[in-house]
Amino acid sequence: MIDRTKAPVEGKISDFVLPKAEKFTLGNGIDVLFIKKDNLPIVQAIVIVNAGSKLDPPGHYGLSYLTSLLIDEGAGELDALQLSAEIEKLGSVLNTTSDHDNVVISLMTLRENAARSFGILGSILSSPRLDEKDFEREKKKILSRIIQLKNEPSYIAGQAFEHLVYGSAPYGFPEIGFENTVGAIDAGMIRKFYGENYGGNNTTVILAGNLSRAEARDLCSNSFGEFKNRITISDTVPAPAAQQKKFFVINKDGSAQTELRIGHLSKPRNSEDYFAAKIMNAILGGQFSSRINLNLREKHGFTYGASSGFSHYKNSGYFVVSTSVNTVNTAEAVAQIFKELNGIKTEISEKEISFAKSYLLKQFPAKFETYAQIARNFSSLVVHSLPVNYYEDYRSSIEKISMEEIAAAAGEYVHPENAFVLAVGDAAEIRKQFGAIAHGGITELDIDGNALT
Amino acid sequence: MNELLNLRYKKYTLDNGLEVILYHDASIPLVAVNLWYRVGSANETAGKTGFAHLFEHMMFQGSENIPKEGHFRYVQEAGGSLNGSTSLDRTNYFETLPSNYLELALWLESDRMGFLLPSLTEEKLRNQKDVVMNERRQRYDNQPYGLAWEKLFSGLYPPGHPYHWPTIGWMEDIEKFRLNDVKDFFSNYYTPSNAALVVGGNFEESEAAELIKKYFGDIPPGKQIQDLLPETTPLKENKIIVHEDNVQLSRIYFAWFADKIFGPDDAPLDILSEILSASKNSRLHKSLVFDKQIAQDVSAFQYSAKLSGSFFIIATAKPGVDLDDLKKEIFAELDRLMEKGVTGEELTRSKNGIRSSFIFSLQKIDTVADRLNAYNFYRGEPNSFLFDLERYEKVGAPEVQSTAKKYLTRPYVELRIIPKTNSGQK
Repeated sequence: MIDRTKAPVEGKISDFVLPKAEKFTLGNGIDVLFIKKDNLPIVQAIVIVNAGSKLDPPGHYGLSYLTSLLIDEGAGELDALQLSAEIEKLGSVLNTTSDHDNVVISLMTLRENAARSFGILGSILSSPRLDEKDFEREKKKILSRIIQLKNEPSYIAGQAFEHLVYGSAPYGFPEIGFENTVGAIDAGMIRKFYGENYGGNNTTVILAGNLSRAEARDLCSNSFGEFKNRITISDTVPAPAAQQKKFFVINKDGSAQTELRIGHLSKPRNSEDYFAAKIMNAILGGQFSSRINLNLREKHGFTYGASSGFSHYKNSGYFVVSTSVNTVNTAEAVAQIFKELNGIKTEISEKEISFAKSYLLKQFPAKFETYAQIARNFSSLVVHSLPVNYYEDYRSSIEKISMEEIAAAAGEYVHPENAFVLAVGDAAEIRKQFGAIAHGGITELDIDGNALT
Repeated sequence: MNELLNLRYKKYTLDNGLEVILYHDASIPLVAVNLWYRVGSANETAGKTGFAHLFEHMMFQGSENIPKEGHFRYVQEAGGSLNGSTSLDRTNYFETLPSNYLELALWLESDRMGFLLPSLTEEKLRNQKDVVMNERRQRYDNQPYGLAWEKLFSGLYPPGHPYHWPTIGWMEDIEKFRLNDVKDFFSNYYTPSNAALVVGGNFEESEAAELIKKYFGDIPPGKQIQDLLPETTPLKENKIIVHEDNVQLSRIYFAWFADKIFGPDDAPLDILSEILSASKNSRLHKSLVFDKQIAQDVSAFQYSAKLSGSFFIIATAKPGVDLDDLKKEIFAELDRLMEKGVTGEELTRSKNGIRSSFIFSLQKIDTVADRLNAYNFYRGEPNSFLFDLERYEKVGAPEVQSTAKKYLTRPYVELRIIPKTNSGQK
């Protein structure tokens, strides 16, 4: 008979070799971070262009996003359909995403098709067609998407919350824009936006692949050499106003649940006490066995899941608790979340800290399994201006954090007294429930997050 | 490059019937433990739907030697990730950990396979019923178009058919879960003789085999499970369902009976779906989204399972576009394809994409472990990556055309999800 009552002791740890990035700069100013990985015949690129929606001029919100959608609709010799067909024939996967800060173009390809796939990627950057008829089509697509999003409760909550935290600019409006602001964009503005903001000295390439160093260099200079330099973008972000605890509600008739967002402005990703805050949040709401999830899901059954975390943009960040709860339990769920926000500032046990550190330290090797994971990890160093030895120091950065530092992070990063409470759902029912807890009154917002008068 | 897809593994069966598949990969310091139970929502009965999915929750509520939420806690503390999923045919439970924690994973998985019931209480069931009802609200009821799948499947498959209900279950069934029924369901299906265990990654083979025997060897086998042999009653005529929902844009769905997984027409149907909708140049996308711009999006795919498959075409109308116009264009494209066939270039494009996706899928050990289990479940041969790829490479243009004619001329279910007439939303 075996003794099942005790957890088995761990075995001998296997070696983990942290992938190393090598940096080189092309003649036109493009920085390349190359990570050699050769277990499979795969090459993965992530191209980061510092031209996200933070650059949208007021009145034309959505300009950066629309430009990013158009960027691969034909380039150089190829029109939109030809370009797509070429990528397909190569069996490669090309993808463009964007956020407030950056436009990110990623390419995954087999090694044997890397040169041709990268050639297309290069021409997307340096000579996109930005044709009128493609513009009209993509613009229409965005306008329909904006209409569709009006019925996605988690999207509405997320956008409205950012608007509450950041106000108007530069992070306080959705990348996709609004019907009227997208409607006001014409093809000339797209070409101007591209001309001013897409350029070599504004771009970083992360390359993880089964290539030698020389092959990586050649691949990049052959593909991206034509990309011209443009003006440099300044990254100063105006600080939003300080906030105070307030209740907001957005009505969605016929909601089966209430989407909740509770939080406030926080500190940038490259703050010195980031690791202390990360450990603190792992305990509070950053993973399944955290206080917030165990309370709301496993103890009360209010929700399928609840979490807390930090969202970071360049030089800025905010803290938010997110969940979707049964409508009848909305106020009680809010009360339990505040209980946990206050609780983390009062007491954190040694056991919780040792769990959180173990969780963060031991999962580290699994974060470097795929080509895309590795490329993404290194891209976040670029986006958030983190040191190149960040991952080499990762483990010691976590190990050395003391209990006092974690408690200090709870004080520094969690502010229930200043938190915005946003509820999206059946407004009449939510108002009734919030009556007893919302002492400063309840503000009703439209689905874009603007106060209804 | 094809040699990469030829995976060396070891397979054997314990005395209690548990199938074991070991796959060694020393390129990573991780180990993936992946268990498939041969039970899915198809094994449920009318009035008692949602049991297989409920266990995806109850299996994390602790067992005789593991406290409530302990499973998560142990795996996370070891730096692992874990989850489970439920489909029509099977449920899987899996964790990926640093390789020195293989024994921990085996201890946890064996405890909930062999010793779950002693710790399964009314209180735990009540709590997870609430969680599942909230999961249903969040992922289905409160999601635009969220009820489409259950409407399509219950339209396509008659009430007695095992694919008639949604895997999460009907809300009124979830509300009525009773502890005794839940326990019976577990005793019937969650046994070593109804499961297969894949261990993949960095481990010593003999040591792993020893540990598997140690933790799973003494769990008694279960009773024989009868194969499901439902009567297939194909639709005799088209069925039209209209559903009003909290949506802004109308969407139209078509669903046909199609071939089952690894059936002779399964791969041609996959390729057909690629040619119809997988890229900008695909037939439906080019016509509806790119040229005419009457659809916001369009997709076609073959969803194949053990007992049968279903082929879907879905399109969302642009504001102001009538679903009848979308339907007309979709069928015009289908008619064209059935009449004139597909080109060699279309075939090459979709095959090249499929080929690289096989190589791309080798990047993560938990994906590989799950695929080994899937191939073992559906084919009895875990190392079927090459077999799988080759069945796509063999498909010729005439076959795509004849397959389209064979299935897409049959009666179908048509679902229209349209905005609520008095939604009060601006």
